[in-house]
Parts: sequence; C-alpha cells; structure tokens
Amino acid sequence: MPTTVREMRVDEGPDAAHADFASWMAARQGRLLRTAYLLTGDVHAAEDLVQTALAKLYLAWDRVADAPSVDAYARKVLVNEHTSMWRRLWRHREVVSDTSTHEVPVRGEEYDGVGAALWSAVRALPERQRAVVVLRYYEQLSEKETADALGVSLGTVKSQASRALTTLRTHLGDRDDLTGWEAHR
Amino acid sequence: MNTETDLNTRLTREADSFFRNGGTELDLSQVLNRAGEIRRGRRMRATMLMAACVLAIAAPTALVVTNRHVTTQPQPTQHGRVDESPLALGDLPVGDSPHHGFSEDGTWQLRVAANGLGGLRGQVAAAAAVKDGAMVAMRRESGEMTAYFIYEQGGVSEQSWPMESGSAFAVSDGGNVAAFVEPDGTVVAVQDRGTQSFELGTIPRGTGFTAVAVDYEDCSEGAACNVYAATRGGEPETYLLQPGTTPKALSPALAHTTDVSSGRFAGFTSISDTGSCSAVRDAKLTTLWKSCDHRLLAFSPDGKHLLASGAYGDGMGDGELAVLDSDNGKVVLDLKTAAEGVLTQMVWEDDEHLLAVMHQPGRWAVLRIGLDGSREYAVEPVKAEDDTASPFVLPTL
Repeated sequence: MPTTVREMRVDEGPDAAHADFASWMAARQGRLLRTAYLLTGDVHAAEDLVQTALAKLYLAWDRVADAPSVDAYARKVLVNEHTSMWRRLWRHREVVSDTSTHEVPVRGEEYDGVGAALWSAVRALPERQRAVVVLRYYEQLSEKETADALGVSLGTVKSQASRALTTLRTHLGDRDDLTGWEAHR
Repeated sequence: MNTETDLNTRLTREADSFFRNGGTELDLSQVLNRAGEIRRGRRMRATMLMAACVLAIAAPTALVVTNRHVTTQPQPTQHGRVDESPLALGDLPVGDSPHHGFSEDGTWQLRVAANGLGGLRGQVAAAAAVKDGAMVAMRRESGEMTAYFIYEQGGVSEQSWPMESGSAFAVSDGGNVAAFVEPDGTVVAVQDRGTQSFELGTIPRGTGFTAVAVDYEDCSEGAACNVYAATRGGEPETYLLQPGTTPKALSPALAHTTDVSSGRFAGFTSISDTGSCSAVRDAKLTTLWKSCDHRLLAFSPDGKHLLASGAYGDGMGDGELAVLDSDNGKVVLDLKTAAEGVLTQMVWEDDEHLLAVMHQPGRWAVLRIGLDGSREYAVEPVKAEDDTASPFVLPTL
C-alpha cells in the first residue's frame, strides 16, 4: 500500500503539522471571526465559537489538512459548532451579551441607518435562516456549497433564503426613514 | 445595485465591525489551550472510569445511590473473558459480510449481485434493515434525499418518498415498519415490504427532525403505533406521532431523546463543550439511571443493552464504543480505539453483535464486535480515497 500523505506527516514529526496549522490559522482566522460574528451577533460569543472550532480543527488536523478544501471544512465545523445542540445548550447556560456595543451603532461616514436596521433584522432571523443568509450573501457561497456546509438539502437552502429575504424586506419596509435597501423591493 | 449585492455590502460592513467593537484575533496558545481542555475532558473521564473500576473491585458497596430511583452508573463487571484491547485495523479474522447489507462507495450491496437496483439515483446516505429487505435513502447531487424499499434479493419498491436531508430511519422491533421524516416535517411510516405507507402527521416546526423510534408493527389508521421524532440540532424537541392524532411535543425532559425501547427513553440530560450527561427515563419521567461517562446511542433489538460512546462528541468520529446494561447502566463492554483510530458509525447487527465503521490512516473497514469484545472484519480494510469521508453506510435496526 502506498504511503499516504498523512503518514508522511507523521514521519515529518508533529512540529511540521503544528506549524502547518499555525500558518493556516494565521491566514484564515480573520475571516472565520467575521463569519462567526455574523452568526452569533456577539463579539465574545464569536471569539469563543472560533476558538472552539479552531481547537477541534487542530485536534483533527492530521485528518483534514489534506482535504480538498480545508477552508470549507473549517467553515463546516464552525457552522455545525454554532448550530449544533451542543453549542446551543452551552449558550443557554452561559448567556453572553455585549448588546451595549450594538445598541449604539458606530456612526461612520457611511452610516445611513439602513445598516443598523438590517443588522437588527438579520439578528432576529431564525437560526437556520440567518446561517443561510450569512453563507449565501456574506460568504457568497453557491446554494450547493451552502447546503453542504449546513448539511441540508438544496431545496431547504432555497426556501430558507427566500423566507429570510422576505422577512428582511418586510422588516425594513416598516421603517419610513429608509430609502436604501428596501427600495429594491 | 441589486438586493443581493446590497446585502453583501451591508453584511461585510457589519462583519468588519467585529474588530471595531472590540473583537480580537486569537493567539495560537488560546486555541491550543482550548484543544487541551477538550483532550483533558476526554482523558479525565477515562481516568475517572479506571479509578472507579479499581474502587469497584476493592469495595463494590461504594457505589453511590443518590435516591431510590436514580443510581450513578455502576462499573464494569470484572471477568477475564472480555477482550478490552484497543480497536485497531490489524490482523483480524474475516467473517461474514454485514448480515443486513451495507453500502460501499454510495452503492447498496445486494446479497445476490446479479439482481439490479434500477431506478436508484444518487448515493446511499442512510439505510435501515427491515423485514425482507432494507429502506435506503439516496442522496442526489442537489442534496435532496429519496427513500426506497429494497427487496432482499434485489428490486426496488415502485413507490419512493422524499426524505429530510441528513435524517435517518427508525425501525420497529420486528422490522415491519420503518419511519422517517419528509422535508416538510411530515412523518411517514412504511410497512409490509414497502407496500403500504401512512402519513402520521406534520411536525409544526417543519424541518430539522429525524425519526428516532417506532414501537409497533402496524401504523395504519387506528393502530396503536407510536413514532418518535427528534430534532437533529438546534432547539431540542421530541415529538410523538400516532395514527389519526395531532403530533404531540413531549416533555422538555425528553427533548433530547436518542432512542426509545419498551417505554424507556434514552437521551441527553445536559451537554457542554467538554462533555455530556445522559439518562434513561420511563414515560413518567422517572430517571432510571444516568451517566456522565457515556452518551447513549441506541438500544439493542431486544432492549437489554444500549450502544454508547464517549460523553464528548464533536461530530468528527468517536474513539470509544461501549455497551451498557439498559436496566442499570452497568458497563458491559468499553473499547477504545488504537492511536489515530476513529469510529464513524456504530450500529447493532443483532442482540449480541455490533458493526462499526472504523478508520485508521489510509484505511477504512467494517468491524463486527461481540459483547465479549471479540472482533472480526465484516468488510476487510479498503484503501481510503478520502480520509475524512467513510465509503461505508451501515443499516440501523
């Protein structure tokens, strides 16, 4: 039987795999943190989610380092970690919130009120719809890639995305002061 | 600017605010510390179990009884005939192939290879052994799943049914009924060799459920059939579906049900990042016994035992296979995998044997494991084309 890449890694010693993981993490964790923030809506919860997801990725690194797409695998771990009942129960036990940082949105030059309203509406979406929105419209995954990441059917992704967009439009449509996003209805 | 582009722009801006709102990148040491916590959680439970074994030998009366109903998990009986050496894909005897069939590389393996399975599109994603055949769920490229009845000697039922993606079948003890959940939350029971099917009701929450148990051999209108369906993630909930009635949500105490047998519910009672506790309860919610060393997966066909694994599960495979006495939680068998060994699926084959899909670097195989720890290959090791995805799917009972 030919020597596998994984066996070669073992031969190279743990330091090589460790350095490999560290390098990947340095390059990718920023994106994971941003995605986690959109999923959780909370800075501390996002950091904790990514910390756990990266730890699990590290423990499985020998198995996944040579997978076709480590990024896709990591994203799947992150999303599963967030949506799984393990994660949800932990969150129920230790409710974390930094709402103070969100109640008063940062008013940058581009602040027009729509962003805060949209973010509020996204945060209010049911968990699965929110995950679909984040993966489809932030990560810009295809419907198929989104379905793979969430472990659901293509039809579920389509229906959840459709419902989410309808909800967001309805939510934003309730505001009289908005002239941006909902104008495309 | 269209809606999707606008949404991307807004979300990107919000995502970038993670750092403006005080978020910081993680140090490698933080990740390694968390990995260490996860590892230590596993080791601690193993160490506590070993220490408790010693205590059990020296002073068996030390078992703690918290009240007259609830006992902590007793320790394994010490007898020399149990092989508790680590599971490994080594030099093992080769036995029969899985008695109820199996899938390899997405294709269901028939006992009589000459008989075809025309009409099946996609790859086998889930399977269940039923009377005179198997229920098999095929997943297409789109991710959508379709359920079929496959006859033991070949051939496929005329009827097929849509099935919730990622869900599984539940089968009655006698194997006459297989239940599953459709994508819209409708629970369906297929019986009598796939010739009859009954819609038992639609779970109000819709998607995200899987069937976990069926306790009767007939689910036709008016029959005393109970089908249980539970969430696969998200907010935990378990529903009871009976012919001709509205689906009922069970008590939150049974929300995490993983299997039901003779009125006993196995499932989680608490879950954390580093472990879990589970219990067996009766229908009156009395806790019969509990364990924080194992998570409970499935009752044996005769209901006497429970297949279990480690209390910590991360979805990447298990390093432990255990069998517990379903009456009291006593450990009958507790096997760990050898270094780098991972178990990706464990099922009962009959009352006395389990099948487990195991991976070690570069290889996958199906092991048959007896309650005495004996083991043989049900499918000899094959070269791993993909170290992260098993080529095998085993049918549940």
